[in-house]
Amino acid sequence: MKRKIVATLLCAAMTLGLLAGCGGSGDTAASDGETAPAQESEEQEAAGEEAPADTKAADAGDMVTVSLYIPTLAPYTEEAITEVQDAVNAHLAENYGIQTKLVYIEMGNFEKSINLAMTTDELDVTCYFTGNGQLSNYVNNGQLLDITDRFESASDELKNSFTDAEITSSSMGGRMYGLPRKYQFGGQEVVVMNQAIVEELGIDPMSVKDMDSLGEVLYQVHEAHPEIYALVPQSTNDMTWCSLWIGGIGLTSFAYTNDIDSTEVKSIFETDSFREFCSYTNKWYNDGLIMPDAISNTQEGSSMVTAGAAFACLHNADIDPLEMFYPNTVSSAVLIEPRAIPTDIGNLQYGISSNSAHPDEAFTLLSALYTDARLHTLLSFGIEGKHYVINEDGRAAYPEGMTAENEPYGGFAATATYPNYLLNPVKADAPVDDYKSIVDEWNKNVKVSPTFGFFFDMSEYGDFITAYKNLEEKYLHPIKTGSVALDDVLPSIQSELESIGFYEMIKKVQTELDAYLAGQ
Amino acid sequence: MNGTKKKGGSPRIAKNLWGHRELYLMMLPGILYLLINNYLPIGGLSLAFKKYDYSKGIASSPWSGLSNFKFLFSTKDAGMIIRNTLGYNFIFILLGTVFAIAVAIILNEIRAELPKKIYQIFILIPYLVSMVVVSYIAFAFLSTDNGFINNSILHSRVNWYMTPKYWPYILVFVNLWKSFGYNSIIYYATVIGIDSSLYEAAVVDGANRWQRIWHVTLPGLKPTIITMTLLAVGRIFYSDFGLFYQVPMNSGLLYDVTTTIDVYVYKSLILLNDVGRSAAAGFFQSICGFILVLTANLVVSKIDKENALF
Repeated sequence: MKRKIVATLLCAAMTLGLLAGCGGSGDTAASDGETAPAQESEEQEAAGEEAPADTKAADAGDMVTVSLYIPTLAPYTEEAITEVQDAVNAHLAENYGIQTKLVYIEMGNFEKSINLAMTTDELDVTCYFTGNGQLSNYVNNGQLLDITDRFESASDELKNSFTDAEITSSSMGGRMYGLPRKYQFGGQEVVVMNQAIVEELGIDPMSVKDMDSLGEVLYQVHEAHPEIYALVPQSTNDMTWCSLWIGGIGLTSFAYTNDIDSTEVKSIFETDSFREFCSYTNKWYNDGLIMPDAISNTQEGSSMVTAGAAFACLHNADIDPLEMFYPNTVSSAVLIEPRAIPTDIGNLQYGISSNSAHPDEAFTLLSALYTDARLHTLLSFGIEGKHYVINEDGRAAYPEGMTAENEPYGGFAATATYPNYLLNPVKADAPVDDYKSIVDEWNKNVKVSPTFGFFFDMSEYGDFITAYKNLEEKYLHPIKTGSVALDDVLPSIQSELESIGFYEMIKKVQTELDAYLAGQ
Repeated sequence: MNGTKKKGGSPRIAKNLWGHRELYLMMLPGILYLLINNYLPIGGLSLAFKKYDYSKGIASSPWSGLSNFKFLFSTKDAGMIIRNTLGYNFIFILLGTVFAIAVAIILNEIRAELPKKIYQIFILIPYLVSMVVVSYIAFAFLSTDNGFINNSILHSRVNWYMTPKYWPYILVFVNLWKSFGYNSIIYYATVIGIDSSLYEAAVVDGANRWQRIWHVTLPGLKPTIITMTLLAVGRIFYSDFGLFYQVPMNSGLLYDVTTTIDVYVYKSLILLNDVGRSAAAGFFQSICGFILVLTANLVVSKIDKENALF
């Protein structure tokens, strides 16, 4: 009898244990207008996220909790997230009558994680990227909430925060789906070079101002230092992120123009500027200047240059001097003047999931993130005196003994991922006193493609996009790194483009683009 | 007699259930697990026939017929993708089985216990290594500039990651290296379960080692070989994503020999966030695998009914 009882109890325990793992994933507490931090913490833990534990927000009574998803570019400890969440919630309770749950997700998994979270109501406000034209996917799939009406009836302070270009960048078909991060957009191309070798060989960095002068320096370095790579890709197998040819036309991934002024769309492989760039890299590759493993490289070019394993890499730069980020390096003159392709402007945005159970409260949080300096500084820098300090000159710095490596709340090092960096105090090591005026100046002067604002609806062409991207990935980087000569593979590329219907598609884009430009 | 059975069916079932209630209770967690993890998600297959809209959910998203399946077959690469998936799996099943059986028999022939255990540990280790780590091990061998093969064996600069013709061999080798330890242990477990009196009888009859393997060990392994092969056939339309994506470092020039259905679907999903297409691909893989298992089992049952799975 005893054995039977024990067996029954064991089975019951096993069954309960099994069912305990099958709890609902929805943020039920938030749905009910209550906070249940312990449960939330458990859910986050199950989802493998960095999760704050309990919070003091339980005192917040009936206030609605909206989740805020942010990618991590620096380490954050659970304890620090909890402390900051508590402080943010105290501020939100006092000023807006809402609460938030901070969900930090590692950058590499971020897009996949928010896609999954957007299928439920557990995600309210989220950061998302649009640099590869993802906005059209989010809208076509019904993932983002249309915030046009809410934005139009929002405060003037919020509305005046954005330029027409920024509003265009977060809109499709005349409707707004998010708010772009306030920052400069676009970039310029420079060469990042190893300072020790520059000094040793007496190279004038400002003499490097185009591909010809870069080539001269690379041959000089290769002769003096054959043991290191003269030129490496900017990142993994991509030779450069900044180029004369322009991509992302109409927020597509396949239509390019030859340069920033052109409005004639074509295949990247058939633009003159791409051909010219690749003729240089192919010659340099064959002459041993470029790393032989360029197409299977997994490292950042700037890291190799900093470490002395390589002499140079091409790099996109903006208002911050690259020497600040990469020690032991020096930048060349500007190879490509500041310009912005259509997917540059607002390439990091914040929006609301269409499945959010509390869209009004989510919009309240979203707008506060762009207008409330106290809230934004708290969220991004953390707690003053603990995660950062304000020096006598009013600039922000790490507390004594703390660095980017050991600071528990990574926001100070990763402010670029937050909505409105311009609301924060200037950092002690910033090269300027007033970021806002510098950013405004940059945005005013950066050359923008005339195709910016044009959108080509790809929702019915998913099969074509998949086939095209496979084709592009197959050839693009091998050619760009110079590992393969463009002329050797161009006939095959053109034949494959023909077979997937590329030329018919590009004609459609051109027709719509011409109509758009005529209407401007 | 049958009539009596039918009449008393329900009470008999109830009596049976009550009589073995402890056993059924023990089975309950497993049944619940299967229901929740294996059967409930089957409803999600409807996604394969819908244009999924995140704001509407699965049930309210509009039906789209077979359009989600088109992307697998309308591409000009459809033949290449299916050829790669089936071709590699066929080689993996064939060579993997032969290799694993050979290793299991060799292990069985080793008499010293300690070396046998050490060998078992060493051959199992690759199975436990993540495919990402394997990709870097492969890179250490194949790197053009610093790779072991180029620098220490060939003394030349073969650019492995740009030359598709080598990769069918490299991928087969990596797959065998990674999986043979695990598979051989399954066969080894069967080998040591073969009745030792059969070997003794064979020795008495004057059979040498080869003859014992051929006439006792291999026939004893037959049911396991058939079961393992049928299970592998059921997954012949699936591929190890890590093997085909990570190990070649996603090198574009190798796509013709490294793109399988799973790799193609992954790229499409990342590009479009369209879960309907990936559900359609998964549905297609499952149905094909199911049909192949049924067919293979039918063939086995025609040849040797005892060894068929069902």
